[in-house]
Amino acid sequence: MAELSLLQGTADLLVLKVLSRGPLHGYAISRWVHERTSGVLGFDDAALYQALHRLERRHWVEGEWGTSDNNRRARFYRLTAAGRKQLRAEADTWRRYAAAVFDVLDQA
Amino acid sequence: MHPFGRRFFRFPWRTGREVLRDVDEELRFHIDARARDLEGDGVPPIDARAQALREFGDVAATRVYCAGEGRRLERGNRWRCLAEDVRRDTALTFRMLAKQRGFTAVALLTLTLAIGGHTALFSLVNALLLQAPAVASPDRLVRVHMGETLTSYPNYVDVAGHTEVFSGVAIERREPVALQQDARSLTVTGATVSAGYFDVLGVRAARGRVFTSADRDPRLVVVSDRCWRTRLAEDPQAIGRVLALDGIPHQVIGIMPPAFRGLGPPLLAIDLWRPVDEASTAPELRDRAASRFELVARLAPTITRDQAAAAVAVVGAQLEGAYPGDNRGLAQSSVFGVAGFDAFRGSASLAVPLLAFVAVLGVISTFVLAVGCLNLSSMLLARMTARRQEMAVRLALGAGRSRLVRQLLTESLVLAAAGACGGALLASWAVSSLDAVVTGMDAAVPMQLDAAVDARALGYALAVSMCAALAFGIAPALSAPSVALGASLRAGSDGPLRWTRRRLVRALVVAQLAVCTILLVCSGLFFRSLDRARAVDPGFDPSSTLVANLYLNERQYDEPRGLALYDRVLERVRAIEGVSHASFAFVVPLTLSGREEFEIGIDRQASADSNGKARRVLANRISPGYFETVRVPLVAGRDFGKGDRAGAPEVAIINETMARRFWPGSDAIGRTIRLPELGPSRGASGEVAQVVGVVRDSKYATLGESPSPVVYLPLAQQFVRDVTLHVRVRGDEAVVAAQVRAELTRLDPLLTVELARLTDKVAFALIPARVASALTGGFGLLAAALAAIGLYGVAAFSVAQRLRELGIRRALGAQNSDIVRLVARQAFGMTATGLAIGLAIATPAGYAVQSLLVGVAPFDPLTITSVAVMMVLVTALATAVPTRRALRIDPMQTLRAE
Repeated sequence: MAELSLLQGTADLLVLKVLSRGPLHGYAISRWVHERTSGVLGFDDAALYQALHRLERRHWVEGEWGTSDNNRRARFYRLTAAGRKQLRAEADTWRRYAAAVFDVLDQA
Repeated sequence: MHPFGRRFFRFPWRTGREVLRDVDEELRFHIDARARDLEGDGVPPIDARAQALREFGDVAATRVYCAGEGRRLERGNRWRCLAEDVRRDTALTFRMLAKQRGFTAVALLTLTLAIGGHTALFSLVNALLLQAPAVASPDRLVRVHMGETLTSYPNYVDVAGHTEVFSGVAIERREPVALQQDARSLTVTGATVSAGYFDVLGVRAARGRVFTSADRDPRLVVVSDRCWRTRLAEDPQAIGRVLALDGIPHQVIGIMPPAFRGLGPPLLAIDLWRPVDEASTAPELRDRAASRFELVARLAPTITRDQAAAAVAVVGAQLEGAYPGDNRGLAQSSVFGVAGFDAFRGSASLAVPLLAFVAVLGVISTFVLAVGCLNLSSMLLARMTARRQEMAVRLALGAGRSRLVRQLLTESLVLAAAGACGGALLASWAVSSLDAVVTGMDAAVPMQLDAAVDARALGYALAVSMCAALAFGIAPALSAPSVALGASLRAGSDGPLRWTRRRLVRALVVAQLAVCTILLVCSGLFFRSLDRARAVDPGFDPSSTLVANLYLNERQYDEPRGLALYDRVLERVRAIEGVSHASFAFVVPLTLSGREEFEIGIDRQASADSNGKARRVLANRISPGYFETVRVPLVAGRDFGKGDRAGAPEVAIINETMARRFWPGSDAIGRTIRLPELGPSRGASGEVAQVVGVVRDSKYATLGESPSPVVYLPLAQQFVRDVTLHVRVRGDEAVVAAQVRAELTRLDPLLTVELARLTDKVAFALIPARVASALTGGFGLLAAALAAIGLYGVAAFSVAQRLRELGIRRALGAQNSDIVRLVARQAFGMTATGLAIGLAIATPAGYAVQSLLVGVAPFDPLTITSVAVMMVLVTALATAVPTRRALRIDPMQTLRAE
């Protein structure tokens, strides 16, 4: 599953970013990413939930049980202060990385 | 709907199964939601569900992964929660301790004293008993006893040839060495060792180098760090300097590191090491029977000690077979370790008193520690009563009892840790002082303590403090209330546990006082004993007398030549200007020289009396003129004379006790005794000797001994080759000493003679007793201080608790004396009980150590009375401040507060 491991870093970043807009439950995050990227990003739901739990363990997101719009019990996640900082740092790194790659590609 | 709010209470921790259940529920929500959305798009329900599952991905793997992460999260949270609690407890503790400055100061003082004393003792024990010599792999070094502790040089050479079990063999002989420096002559302790000694030990010089088997020149010397500092004044050019040792120039080639003290017994400071002159033809090297060296060997890599012991026994048997005369008994050869307790196997005479001493100190310092802990425990318990309000509030707010207990234990731990730091510092100071005292003592034998509060001691201090914390903290912590009662919240009322707690506190203080009493009684007995010891008449006069030990080797001196030498020595020495008397003796009383004891028969009878009890007497072998030299009066008959020699009728002189015991009521002169077979190396006997004189009793082994029968035999008839020359000096001792040495050297240059003052040697034997009583006394006073602190604490809190009661009594007309009586009764009651219990234990204990006491009965009225008075004074002092506070209570204020 080489694809999965490549996505692992990106999955964390994307989840952090999504949650920076406000708390959501797992399904909502999945739908949001899908709509936003028009399905380009093969964002595996499995990878998403693994990322969520990983991030929770590292105290970058905080999970808690709540009720969904349909009055069902769902687990909501929100960004913690530490998570916010981590998001900033990782986004920064990603941008620099992407810029470097673009640079190389544009070199012809 | 977002559920996040301020989290206030902690949830109980989830188990692994609960974590999995949560994950399942979460994933199920997702699948259901997706399926519903798909249905909304028109997909039939069954297909919707299937598609949702497909879209999700690997559900099983996700489930497992997420559950794993969840469990780790729980674990992490649990630790953080604990850390948070601990941090909060510690912060709270510090705040509380800072607020109660008085209590904290007292508690810290108590712990510092108690733990410090204990740690100092441990360092001492470590230095004396536990420490391994500073050599490479000390567990691979062994001492080899070829039949006896010492070996002769030829036997060493033979053993060294057997390399299958030993990778190296070395010998060592420690002896006083005359170090001549700028026309002054110092006596230092030197070790004559084989050339490969340092190789076998695996040590190197800190500066310069050590000699090895490659060095052909025997005129080399390696000095110790201590010697370089004290004798050579830390001379930076010390290497290459030439020192005259016993008149022979040796070149200094190296200085050893400070940690290296050689393989001698603890406390002995070796100043220098020089190689054996292998080319020497001196009899002490060539004589196979001259056992003068200690044999040390390093085990070969794969050899165990048992294998080495077996091999050594075989070699010993072979040597015994080859040289039956010289090597008798070699078949009983064995090996011993060099570190720790093993170092004492060879010298039991040193080991037993040392171990006994250490054991006693250990018991005492444990007592003191116990007193300190009891102190703290009672203080904490007393404070619990004052803190019940605080406890009740916390319980009402939801803290569990375990939380409370944990917080109380944290207090104890913090106190104990602080006490450990203070104690370590105190121990450090105490040990270095002791070190300085020992080094500065410069007695006949230079000593070095080398004890330090090192990592081991610190570890020990910490361990002790933790145990102490548990010991004194557990009682108060466990007495924490478990239920918040409304009554407790009201000021002025006592919780239901008050009664038990009070009793416990009082019991603890009583125990404390009892322990203190025991210590004080013991130290009192020791002090008095020491006092008496100084006044005890030894029965002889050691003043103005110089002594020197002589050893005549067998090859050079057989019995006739040995006796002839003795005669010539006495002749020459008596001729010296300034010498009033001179003589020889085998045993020097009250010193650490040997003793002799055997069974005799009375009047030609067997050596046992009619009841079958053996007639044991102490013995000494002397030359004529001995009694005059040491000023022991002759009460009947005559001294030995020139006529009492080999071949003449056997004679003996006895002391008064012996005369009284065996011939009560009649004259002992002219009676006969049957001497036992004393062995060929000690002169033939088994013969009958006639009593020709009776002398006054004098002390033999210790100052505290009861009079024992002693028989004196003439050297001329009972020859030994190991004697001590006694020279009574009239005038300048140094001048006479030099002349005596000169005369002896003239007679036989190989006689190495070291002259010391007899008073010094006798005083040396008293040092252990002196040290023991000082230490016991010191600890006793320490215990008294601690007990006083404890009493003060209890009295103070008792008064604080009874403020209301006392105020009301005042208001009702109680006088000063009534108040004082109320406060004092409790304190003195406890003291009386403690004293009684303490005495009940101390008296049998006193009987146990009776042998160490000189002229003092274990139930000594003076000591006991003094201790009782002291305890009363201590109690009065301790209760002074609380009593004054009680007297100053304003009844109006108390009534108003109601």
